[in-house]
Amino acid sequence: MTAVDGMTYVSFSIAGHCFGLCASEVEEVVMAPEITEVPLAPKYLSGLINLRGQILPALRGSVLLGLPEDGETGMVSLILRLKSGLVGLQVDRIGEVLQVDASNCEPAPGNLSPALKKSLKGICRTGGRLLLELDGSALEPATLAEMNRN
Amino acid sequence: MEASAENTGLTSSEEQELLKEFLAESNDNLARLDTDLVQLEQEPGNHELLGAIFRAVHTLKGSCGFFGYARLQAVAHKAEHLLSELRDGKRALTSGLSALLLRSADAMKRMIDAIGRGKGEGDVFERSLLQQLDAALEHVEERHAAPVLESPREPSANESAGTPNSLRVEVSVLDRLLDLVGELVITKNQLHQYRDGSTGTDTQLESIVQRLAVITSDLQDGVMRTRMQSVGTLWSKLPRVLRDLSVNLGKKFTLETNGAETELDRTIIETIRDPLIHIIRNACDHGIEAPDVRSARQKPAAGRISLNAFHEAGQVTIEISDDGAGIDPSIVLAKAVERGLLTEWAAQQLSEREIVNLVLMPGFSTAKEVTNLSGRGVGMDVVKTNVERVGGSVELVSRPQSGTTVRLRVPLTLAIVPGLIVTAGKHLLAIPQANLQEVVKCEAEQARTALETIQGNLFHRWRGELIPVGDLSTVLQVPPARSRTLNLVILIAEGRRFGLIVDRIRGTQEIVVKPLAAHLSGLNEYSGATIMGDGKLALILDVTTIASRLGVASGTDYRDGTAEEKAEDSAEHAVLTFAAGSAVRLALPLPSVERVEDVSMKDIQQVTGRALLDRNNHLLPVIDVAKLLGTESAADDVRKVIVCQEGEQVVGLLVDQVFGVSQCDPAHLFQSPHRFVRGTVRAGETVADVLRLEELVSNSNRQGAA
Repeated sequence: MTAVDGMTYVSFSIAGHCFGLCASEVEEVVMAPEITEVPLAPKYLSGLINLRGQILPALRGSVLLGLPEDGETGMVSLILRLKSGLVGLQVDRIGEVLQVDASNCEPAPGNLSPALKKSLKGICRTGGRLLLELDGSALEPATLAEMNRN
Repeated sequence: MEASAENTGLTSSEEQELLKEFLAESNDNLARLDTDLVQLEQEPGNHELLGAIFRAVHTLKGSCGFFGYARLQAVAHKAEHLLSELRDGKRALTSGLSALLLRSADAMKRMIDAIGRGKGEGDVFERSLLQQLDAALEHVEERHAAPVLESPREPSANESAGTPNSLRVEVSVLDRLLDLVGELVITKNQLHQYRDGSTGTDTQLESIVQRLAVITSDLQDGVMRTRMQSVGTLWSKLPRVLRDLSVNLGKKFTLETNGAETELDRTIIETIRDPLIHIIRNACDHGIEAPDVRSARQKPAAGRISLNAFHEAGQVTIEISDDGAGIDPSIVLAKAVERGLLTEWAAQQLSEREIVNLVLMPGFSTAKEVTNLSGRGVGMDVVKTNVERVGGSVELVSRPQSGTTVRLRVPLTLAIVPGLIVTAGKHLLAIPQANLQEVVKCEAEQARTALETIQGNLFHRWRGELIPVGDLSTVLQVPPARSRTLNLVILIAEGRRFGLIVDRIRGTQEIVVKPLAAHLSGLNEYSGATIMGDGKLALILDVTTIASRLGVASGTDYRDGTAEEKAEDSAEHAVLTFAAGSAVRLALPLPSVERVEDVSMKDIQQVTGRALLDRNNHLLPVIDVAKLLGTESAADDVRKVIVCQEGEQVVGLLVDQVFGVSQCDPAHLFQSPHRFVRGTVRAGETVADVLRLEELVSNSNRQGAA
């Protein structure tokens, strides 16, 4: 983090929406990784990625956030460091790294879909665009298992 | 850290290093102390042993003084004082004294644990222990009548020479080494695949690949060996456990061990540590009778616990036997029905062996009263869960009045295991070799006859045994990619064989087992994943779960409510239907049927009062069902024998024709007055009389005896 009163975000898009994740949570970006499907897995799990000998689960961003899937869904894998370990988040496109001033961020409005609202920390205004700030803890296995039950 | 070695002039990292060493050494010393003290109780005159105990406590006292752990030092100091008086013959070892010394060892262990967790010496001040130690030291009456012991011998040469040959290594270093070896194995596989794919021959490359393969395999062996621990390290704790149990229960025990040198990977040792203690507690508490009962049964007063470990078929078997009362099947059965673990109908279908193994089911505990040793709600099911988690199995064998044996089977290691790679649709899957019995490939012509369909259920006749067959694609809910060849793998899970249809078989290879991320923990069908030579991933199948999904695992068909999806099936039960003479269609519960064989009447020998079938030098008593039910048999020379198990006895039922397996609903059993018929059920399209196997067998036994 370079700015003291702001945050550095990695921006990316899923189903036409622009999202951001705190740069410190993103380990690396893998373009078009080979994903091994897992039979019987819940829909939000697109499969497993072999990241240099480490086997990571790949999560389908569009399903998790309740967004429609289009043709190019999930071509890029964002490798995130969660409390439970590394996971891949499948997104459509990767954007720039953005500096956002803390004063430009506010909590997510109430009229979003529940699936989306639960996964957001807030919304930031940056350069005339809105950046939906993802909450990494929404991707933890315990949170997802609960979501799957409901 | 609460205390520090202020006057030593060491840097904090040096001090940390020393502290680590101190903790490791103290843990070793205290672990030995337990065993040695218990042995000293039995051999109070063993001077060498006393010397060893004294030295261990002395070392501990010295080290904790250096680190400034005053409370630990106080306990060690007083214990050492008592030991020195014992050694010098100033007092005798009484049972009170040895209990006090053991309690001191426990207290020191607790403090060392707390220091290890960075909590200083813990919150307990051990005041009462210190007071008791003081009281014991002042107690003069105990200071006479002690056998005068010789002065302590000098430490022998081999004792001091023993240390330089071994080295203490952090477990994390070994784990990292194993990870690297895993990567190396994968890279080697990749190189193999590359070489196989390239055209032309390069002899130099060939020899390098060969050499690499040899080195990798040696290195893998070597690293595996560093992680191996002998089962004896687990057993060394047991004398102390038994001593405490003996005091608490007022029973006496002797311990026999065999095969303590058998080695296992440390992760597996860790997994079976608690189950082992639990089994032994159970044996002492529930298995071995009270001394008066034992003497009435003419058994030695001290109950015998024997442990036996050995290698068997790439796995390690650990048997824990006692010479107690065994397990009463009728009590187990009553309890299981009372707890709603299975229905009464289902209960009647179980063999004695199966009944005894009900003890392993979740929510089962046969202890009539809750004691402070076992029966805290965690029972044998926890043992089963722990052992199965590492791919092992648990089996109980009970010999009424003469004891119980618990048999644990665990793999040697978990990290790198041989496995069979198969496909289902486009998916690659690995099956651990430990579960694999045989691979059956049937070409087009044979493929049609290899499987028999009975009421929609598939069966395969494998070495004369009729085994259920399931389809991997169906279990995994993936579209199959069939070829003209039928690929059937014969698997074993929980002692039951079954066949699994797979699309293709890719061959066997060493698979490096990688655990699945927490995101996949709900998928019990897989026990892990592995990386193939080309970098692709293969999921490792958990054969036990696959078996239960197919409904072919032992017990799942007639167990109630073990899983939600089983709830629907629980009302339905499988029976084998057949005909004998002109009697109506007959049926037997499928669990009691072992196999069906064709027999020629001339193979059946009529001896006094009974008929015997001679098969592979083994005589099988045969019951002619038609004759028994008072009808005439169809006169065919070739008939069928249904081999069944009733209790400990295996019998053959001679019948005319076997139709197959049907589902029936036991709730709609129409009771029959006939002695040999339990009742009539609807089995598939028709009705059938379910035979009372136990009546048939006891009738035949009576006739044989008459």
